[in-house]
Amino acid sequence: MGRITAIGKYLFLESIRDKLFIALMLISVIIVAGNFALDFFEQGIQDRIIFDFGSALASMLGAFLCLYLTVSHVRAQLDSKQAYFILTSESSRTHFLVGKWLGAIAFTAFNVLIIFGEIFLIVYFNSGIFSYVSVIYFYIVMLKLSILCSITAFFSVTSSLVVAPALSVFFYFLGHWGNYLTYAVAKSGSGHYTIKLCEFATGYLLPNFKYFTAEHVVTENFAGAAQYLAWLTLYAVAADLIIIGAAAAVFRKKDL
Amino acid sequence: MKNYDEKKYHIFIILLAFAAAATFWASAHFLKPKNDAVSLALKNKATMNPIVSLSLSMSKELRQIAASYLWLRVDEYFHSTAVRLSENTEIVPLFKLITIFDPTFIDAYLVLAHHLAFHLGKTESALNVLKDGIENNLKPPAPRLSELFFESGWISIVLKRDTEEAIVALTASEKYMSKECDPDNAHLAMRLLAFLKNSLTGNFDINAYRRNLSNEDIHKKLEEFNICSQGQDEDGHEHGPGCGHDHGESGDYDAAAAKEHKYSGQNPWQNPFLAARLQNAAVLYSALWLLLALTMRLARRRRQ
Repeated sequence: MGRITAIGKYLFLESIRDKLFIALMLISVIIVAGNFALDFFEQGIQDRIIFDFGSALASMLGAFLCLYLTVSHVRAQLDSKQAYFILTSESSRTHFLVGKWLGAIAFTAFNVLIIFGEIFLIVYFNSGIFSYVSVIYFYIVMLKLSILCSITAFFSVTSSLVVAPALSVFFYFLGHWGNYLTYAVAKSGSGHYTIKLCEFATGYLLPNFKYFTAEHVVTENFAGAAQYLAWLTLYAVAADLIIIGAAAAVFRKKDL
Repeated sequence: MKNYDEKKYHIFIILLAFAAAATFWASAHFLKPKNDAVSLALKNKATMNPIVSLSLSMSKELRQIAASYLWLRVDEYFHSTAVRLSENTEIVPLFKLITIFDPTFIDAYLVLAHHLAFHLGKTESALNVLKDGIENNLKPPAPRLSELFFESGWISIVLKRDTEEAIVALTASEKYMSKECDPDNAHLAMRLLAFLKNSLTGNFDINAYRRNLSNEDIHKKLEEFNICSQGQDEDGHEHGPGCGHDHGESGDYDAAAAKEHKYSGQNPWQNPFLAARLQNAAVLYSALWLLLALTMRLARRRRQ
């Protein structure tokens, strides 16, 4: 465990010195500026727009960070043979992969937290209310991004530097638009079994990112919301375990 | 011995994989019907409309973003001086798109119904829009559902002169009243309901209504509808006995919010409320930056 955390910690420290971090801080300042440009709206609408656009920005930047960090710290380091410094030490390949995965999630969480913190503060300064949805949505976004990190880690050890991010993005989109695929298959007049297979694949086989929504948390009562969040957490953890486990198994057998 | 350990490790990994797969399937089994149920309202309305089909495939957050973006566009068109409000029919589909993408966007229903009824003279369409909004937000009741009922009641009484329909709508408005509703509208709705219940004649008399309510309430609402009579003074009004806003600590009427609302739409530097918020934000951000800089400096010194 110590080795895994050490690998993750160094990924975090290396990334924080990157110019990307400063760029992200600048973007969050732009969100603040956006708040003051929207002052002609009523407060409720203003808060809503700030939350919608802010959370979308956080989600997109988080997805970009997941892809960038995992690919550059796993695939690129394997290609440039930098990873051999770790792999030739006492750390196993599984330690390397899991450490990198955890480090990427931690750094993404840190950056996304800054943006959500900013949204929280803006809403607080605007209306004097605590935006609990921001906190809950931050958690849900991080669950979603952890799966994206696992998918990217899997493709980083199984494919090349170009193919890995492309396939990860493809599966990320498929996870979001899977339901539409089923709908399109049904509308195009496909057979019963094709539709059912499509439904099964998008609902039970592939990670479905449409589940990662705060809708139920907002509309249902406390028990319903807690139940939904608990199942969502289990879903994300199980998906992470399966994908990262598969990645580790492939990586162990891979001839470097 | 080594072989035995390896075997144990493999069994553990296989068991873990099975447990993870079972958890994944069980949670998917719980989450899938929940999410399918959410889009059921949209699915029922989905015919061959590609926009409805598109919105079906999007997550709630993504749909909300699309609705927020369209709201920004609507605001731009609504305040455009190129077209008169009474000729602005192009804006209607934009509003409808907003309600497709986000059926919980109460303001979109309210403004669309108001525009249809008072600017375009389509009373029935306006009431249908409100009915649609009520249907979409009834299960579970949205916090601002009451405002849709109120608007429906207001249109019924002012434009259709239908007292009974208005009473039904306003009673529902009272039922679903919550703290998140606009306090001015809530106040007016309750007074209008009380008045209508006392004078159930079937014929609404705006002058009698005006005599029974505070000038400020009526002026605000009528000015909004552009049917206010000349010579009414908003400032310096006097509340009659039992009339006017409740200024108590119950929070029924937020005077500070109303005052701040006066500055909306003006240049930001002329708005003292915004300046105060900016000042607070600047202090907090400076403090956070300072804290971050200090932490990094200390960390660097520790490393050296």
